[in-house]
Amino acid sequence: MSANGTINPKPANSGFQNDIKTDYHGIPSQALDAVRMRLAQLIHSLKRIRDELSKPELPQWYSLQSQLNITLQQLLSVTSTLEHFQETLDSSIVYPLPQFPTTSHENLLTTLLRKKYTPEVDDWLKASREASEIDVKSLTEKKIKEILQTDRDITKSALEIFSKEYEQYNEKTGKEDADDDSNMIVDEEDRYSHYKPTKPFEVENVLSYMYSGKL
Amino acid sequence: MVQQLSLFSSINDEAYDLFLATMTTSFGTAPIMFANLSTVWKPDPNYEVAATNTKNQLIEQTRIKVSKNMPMEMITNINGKIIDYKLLPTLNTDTLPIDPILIDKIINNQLTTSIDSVSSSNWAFAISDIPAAGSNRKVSMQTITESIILETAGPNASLNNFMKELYYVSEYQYLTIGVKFHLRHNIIVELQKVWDVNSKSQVTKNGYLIKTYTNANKSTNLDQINHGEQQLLNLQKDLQGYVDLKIPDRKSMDSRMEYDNNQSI
Amino acid sequence: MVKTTIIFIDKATPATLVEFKDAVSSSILSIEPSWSIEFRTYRSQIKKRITTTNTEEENRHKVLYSISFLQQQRSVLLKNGIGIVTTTKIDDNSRKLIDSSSSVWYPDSMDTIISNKLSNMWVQRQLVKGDAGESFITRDGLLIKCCNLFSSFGFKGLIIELREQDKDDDENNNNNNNNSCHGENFNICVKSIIDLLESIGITNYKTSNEVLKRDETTTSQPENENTHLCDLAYQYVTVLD
Repeated sequence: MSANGTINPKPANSGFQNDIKTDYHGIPSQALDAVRMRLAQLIHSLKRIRDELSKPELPQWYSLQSQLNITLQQLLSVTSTLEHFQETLDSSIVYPLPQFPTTSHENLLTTLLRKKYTPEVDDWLKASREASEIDVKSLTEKKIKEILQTDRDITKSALEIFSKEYEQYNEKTGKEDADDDSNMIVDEEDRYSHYKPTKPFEVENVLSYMYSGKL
Repeated sequence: MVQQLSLFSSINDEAYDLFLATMTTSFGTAPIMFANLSTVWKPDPNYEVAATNTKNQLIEQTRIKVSKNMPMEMITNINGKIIDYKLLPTLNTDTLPIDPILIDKIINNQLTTSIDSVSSSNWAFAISDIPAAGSNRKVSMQTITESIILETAGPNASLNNFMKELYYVSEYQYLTIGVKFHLRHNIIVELQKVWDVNSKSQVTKNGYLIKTYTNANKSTNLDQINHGEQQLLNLQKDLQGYVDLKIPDRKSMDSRMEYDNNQSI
Repeated sequence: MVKTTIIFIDKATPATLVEFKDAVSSSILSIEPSWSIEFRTYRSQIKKRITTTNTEEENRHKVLYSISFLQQQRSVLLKNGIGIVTTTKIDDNSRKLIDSSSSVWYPDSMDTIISNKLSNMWVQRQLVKGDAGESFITRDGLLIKCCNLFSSFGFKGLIIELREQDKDDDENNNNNNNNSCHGENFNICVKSIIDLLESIGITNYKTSNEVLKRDETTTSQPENENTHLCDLAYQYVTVLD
């Protein structure tokens, strides 16, 4: 029992239980707080996206994209925090204190102590498993890991190609030397000119004609 | 009275297909073909007009634009072709794609045609002010006053003769053929090809005029104007880097007579 | 074509309308919607650079008339025997102007354009208004519209518009076919109204049943309600000017 960590909870019904000092020493408060904070952020971002999408007018694509990026970052942060505290959290056991008004708040209690997924979470898991097109039942764990690894490899090589191309694109605007590259650069600009329209005439000239007949 | 908010740009002929595809996929609306004939009239030089009215207000002499729809059937070289947006690039000729005699007949009410929409004497009769001034303006804002003419009647009744009674004479005419997109919030995007009837030449040579606009009823409806402006600016942002929409010099949209470009107001 | 006749009694008093309605009341079959009219004249402010000798001819050409039929949202401009019908309403016909980007929507009346944009050329000389006029159909199938007219100087006179009923309307009213006001009968019906006016002591009036001259040289356009509206406006101008 630690003097610092002892708080007097206020139960709904007073009585002798007030005298019992609760020991919070064993509670992994650091881990829980870290997870709680990140979850709160994530919930906030998700709500914001949901609200934006339900507006009659859609936001600009780039603002949606940046919001989505933030949300993905936060999701990543939640998972890494969970991973970081995995050991602590896995070994924690939750139980109600004797002061808890078990009878009057039974529903709340069962919800808090529930270990099984709620039905909708089960549905989400099922849907994402189906979406991955991997038959978990018939495949061995090793096989699944292999599939996931291949997936990661493809993603990695795609990212490499992307970053290489991006560098080349940037070089076009910035750099000068390297004879080998110059050919490719001309190509790029050539392709670029195909979709970027050119100005065949000054708008003002046509308007001057329409409004005052000046040819 | 209408406040027309607009932004303009231009693209070359070769960019037509991609521009249409871009608009169609980005905004989910199909291109619609249209054509109209604009006849522009100026005060009869044989008459002298005071610069002020009886209340001593300065009224500048201005041109009147009287325009009507041109059915595609009247445009030459399209017989039998399907009338859709693919048609416009094929009209990329330097010469007027319509017989100028026909236009003369329309103005003088001597047309013998079974095409209903031409033989009807509907015309839009419009006077436009010079766009509003101001260096921090983001879109062009122009007041247009318009009435609809349904019919001319009487001996020698024709648009030409009625304009003569208003002391106005024909100055020039132009034919516009284009495609347009109706976007949300009453924004319209038009690609136009314009031909001068007198010289029979194309004014938009090698390309298309892009006009994006919205019309707000009455100059007092500030909400509608602000909303329209915001929508146009959104479109400008969406197309940024591809087609850059801009406000044209307001002097180019001035239909007043004897206005010297060097004397800016 | 639909025949119309306009009767204008400028020596009337505002009470003449009541007397006329009393006199005609025994033959009224149905009451029709009310109507309003505005009549404007404009005089041109411009001078010919080279003056001609024929000043009378010049003066005659200087006046532009505008008659607004407010219920139809149409107005007719008349000058020198040429009329144009204009509208402030977008209907199926004028929609083509919008579809083809010829029009910018929200049309104004021609009077607005003349008084706002062309006031250096035209000055309004008079404005005569008839508000909340009455109309009814008689047992003969004659449509009578009547209204007291006022100008800025006060009471101007009593105007009566007589019109034969459209054929379609008449077929729905078979029991009246025998003594309908169609064709030749229309003039008889007009005569009976004039007799009625004289019976209440009105002998001083102007009538008009003229129509705008038709043009034989140009391709004749089919006559429609708009050309009839021009004729009607012409009749109003004839009696009111």
